[in-house]
This record gives sequence, C-alpha cells and structure tokens, in this order.
Amino acid sequence: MKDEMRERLREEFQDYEARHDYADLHLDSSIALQIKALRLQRGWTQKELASRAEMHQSQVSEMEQVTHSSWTLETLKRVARAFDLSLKLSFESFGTLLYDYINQSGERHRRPSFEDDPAFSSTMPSSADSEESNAANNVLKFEQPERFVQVRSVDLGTASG
Amino acid sequence: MIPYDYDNSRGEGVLRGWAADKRESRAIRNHVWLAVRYSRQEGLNSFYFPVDESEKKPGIFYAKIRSSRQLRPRICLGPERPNDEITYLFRAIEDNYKISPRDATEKAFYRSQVVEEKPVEMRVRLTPQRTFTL
Repeated sequence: MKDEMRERLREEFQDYEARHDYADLHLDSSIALQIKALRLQRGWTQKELASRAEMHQSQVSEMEQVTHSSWTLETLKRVARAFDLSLKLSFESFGTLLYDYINQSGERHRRPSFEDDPAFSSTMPSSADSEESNAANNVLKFEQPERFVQVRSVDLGTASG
Repeated sequence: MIPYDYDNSRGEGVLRGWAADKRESRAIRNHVWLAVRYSRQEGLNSFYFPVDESEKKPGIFYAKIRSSRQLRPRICLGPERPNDEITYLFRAIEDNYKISPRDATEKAFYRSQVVEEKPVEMRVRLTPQRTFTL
C-alpha cells in the first residue's frame, strides 16, 4: 500500500496546489496527533495537560483534533513547555513531506521526557571533546533512530529545476 | 482499519463522488488515509479519528472532515469485523452547528442494517487506488 501511495502522491505532487494542500493537511494533523501522542505517552488527561499549559481543557480537546488549523506559535511554545520539550520548526522539501506523510505513525510522534532523554543521562560523558560529543551523538542516533533513518531513507526522486 | 463505502444499486457512494472540488477531494482522501494508518494501530477512537457516537443511534458514529465544507459522514464499525472495518454510510454536512440532512443518522442506521445483511453487495472497499478517485 505504501509503495502505491508513494507513486500516486509523487504524481499528484507535480501540481503546485495539490502539494501545498497536502502540506497543509499534514501539518495540521501531525501537530494534533503528536500532542495527543505525547499526552498519552505521559499518562496525562486532557485536563492535566491543560493545567500544565495554562489553558482550558476544551482548548486541549480542540488542539487534538486533526481538523484544527488555528495554530499560533505562542500556543505551540506553551504546549512544548508543558511537555518540557523543545519546539522545532523548519521549512522542508516535498521529498521530506512525502516520506513523512506515508510513514506517519503514533510511534514516530513520541518523545522522551527530559529525565529519559539519553543526551542528558548521568552516564553520558559531559566533556565537550569532539570525540566524546560524537559518541554522544551516536547514542542519540541509536536512541532516536527514526529521525536519522528518516533523513537517510528519503527518496527525493529526480531533482528538477 | 479497512474503510468501506456504502454502494447503492446505482454505484453511488458516500465518500465517492462527494467532493465539491479538488481541495475537498484531498481532504477526504487525507481523512481516509489517516483513519487507515492510525486506527489500525490505536483503535477507532483511542488515538485519532475524530468521531462522535450518535446519542440517538448507538453504533452510528460521525467523522469530521474539514474542508471548504464541514463534512460529517455517518459511519459504523464493521459490520463484518468491527475491530478491522469502518463503513461510510451516509453523507451529512454541518453548517452553523446544524446537521444537514437532519435525518442523516437515522438513514445511516437503516443502511447499517442493510450492509450487515449484504456486506459484499452493498459496499465498496476503499483501496489506495480508489481513494485517488475520491
């Protein structure tokens, strides 16, 4: 199914409006899905997340709807603080979107809490030496393989223009 | 989760042929794909798939698809395999907090009984190929 979807989407992405529509749909849904995934990963209710983010439970419920699209950066920052996670925004190629779109899953949305983050584990070397930093980064790659595998596995197709 | 579209004797469906324009077609398609990917992992409503169960007709749910219109198709689980299938039964649109047509849930309930009797004849499976024609 994935291969078939990939090929059909590659055709559809040739159209400017189509690929930007999918980008909008994916952005809205992935934010909502990740918020819910993170909340469930931590065993929180919507009310608990709302309390931590200093918002109403109804706002959390709305945010977790993939049909929600009224995001503000300020709201996302508050949610990130509530989860004690950093927020990352970046512009991406449509090759990356294609990969993300097809491979979306609940598992890929989960993130370790700060206490569980291997980068800050007390057993990790604290020196800024490049060799040790690289070792730390390799641990990061191992612990969060989906991010790096994602980059290596993106099929960008044939470059044009 | 395998999505099915109700199919009347004239080959007309619920999701099939519903989109008013290309943008809406993509929104419907996106909805189906997300439902398939997430519902399989997490169950119909435990993770994603914004649905609410009808108070009037338990067993009839309605999904939410936002596009130029607020689509609220009525769906049921199964009927052959409630843990693995969803069937889109009837079209409905929400406008200003009102559902149109007003008897969408009742008609969906009737259709759910029809597909339970004839799951093969009265349904069309929404394959990836077919979703591209939604």
